[in-house]
Amino acid sequence: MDVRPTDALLIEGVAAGDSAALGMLMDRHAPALMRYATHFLQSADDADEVLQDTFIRAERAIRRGIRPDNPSGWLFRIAVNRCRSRRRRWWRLVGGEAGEAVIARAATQPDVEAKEWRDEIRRALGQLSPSAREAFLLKHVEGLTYEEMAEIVGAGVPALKMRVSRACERLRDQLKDIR
Amino acid sequence: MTDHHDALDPTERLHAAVEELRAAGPPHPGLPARTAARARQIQTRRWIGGSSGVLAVLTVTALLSHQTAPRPGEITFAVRAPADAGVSLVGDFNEWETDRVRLTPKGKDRWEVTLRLPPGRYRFAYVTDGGEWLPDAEAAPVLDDFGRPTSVLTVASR
Repeated sequence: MDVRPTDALLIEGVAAGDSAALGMLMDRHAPALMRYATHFLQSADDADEVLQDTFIRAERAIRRGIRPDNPSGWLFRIAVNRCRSRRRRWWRLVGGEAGEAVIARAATQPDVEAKEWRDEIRRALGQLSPSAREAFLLKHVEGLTYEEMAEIVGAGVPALKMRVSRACERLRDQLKDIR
Repeated sequence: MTDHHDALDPTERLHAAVEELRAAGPPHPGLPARTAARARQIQTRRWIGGSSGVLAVLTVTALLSHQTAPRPGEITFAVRAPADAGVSLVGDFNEWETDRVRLTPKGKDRWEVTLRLPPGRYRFAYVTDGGEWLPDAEAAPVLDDFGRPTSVLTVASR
């Protein structure tokens, strides 16, 4: 029998100021959020800050009475918005399309511990548009349904299907000559 | 477009790439402690960010007010809007009338109101006196019957 507290119970704990409940909520949801944010932003350090912001906002919302129907999707939506904001801020700093070129180049910087294959995947992912990267990661890496994605991203299902399809097409093309 | 366009062939490189992406590393250790420290840092930054003594006092008042958790059954609605915007709360609980629930300014760009609502699921939004329609930043988004952005909250039974 699974005796782990439900998300709803943990959320009530957070509302009552129980930091252990917040910690358990993090343990449960942070791995998937971290994976998404790391791949979207292509930086584990930036992803870590996004996660901190996500849980700060979630805690604040819970303490003012918000009770999400689907806690996992709700946390994803906050994290996706934080990733978008962070990318927009970065985009303004480096400027326009030059910024995307920097993302793509950054993804090809040699990492002493990374394998060539992993670098190529990151490079290919970095060359997708942000909306295509977002849709691809949520669909294929996080395994969400299009309906769940629509709740999180705020776009319609047909548009999301199109983004995923184009992202796959582009990635297939990018990866076809590797290894 | 049908779903088969999205199915990945297990023998193709993209499938292997997805497997690699799914195997990403875990969050950095100590996330709860770092999150708590960052939350304190944000509050401190807000506290010292006032440009005058009066504003600082107002900011501290707003922070103290915000830190006070609503009583059971109460929901605090909050939105960022300019101090002179004038903000109303509209939703399924007040027939979407803009003159029934007014928010109170808290600090330089935050508006709040606390309500007691019976258990249920409610769509709601904030409307400025200028007619701007604002969804809640942290509640689930949904479009209303006219295609305007609104939010949804569920009040659980206790």
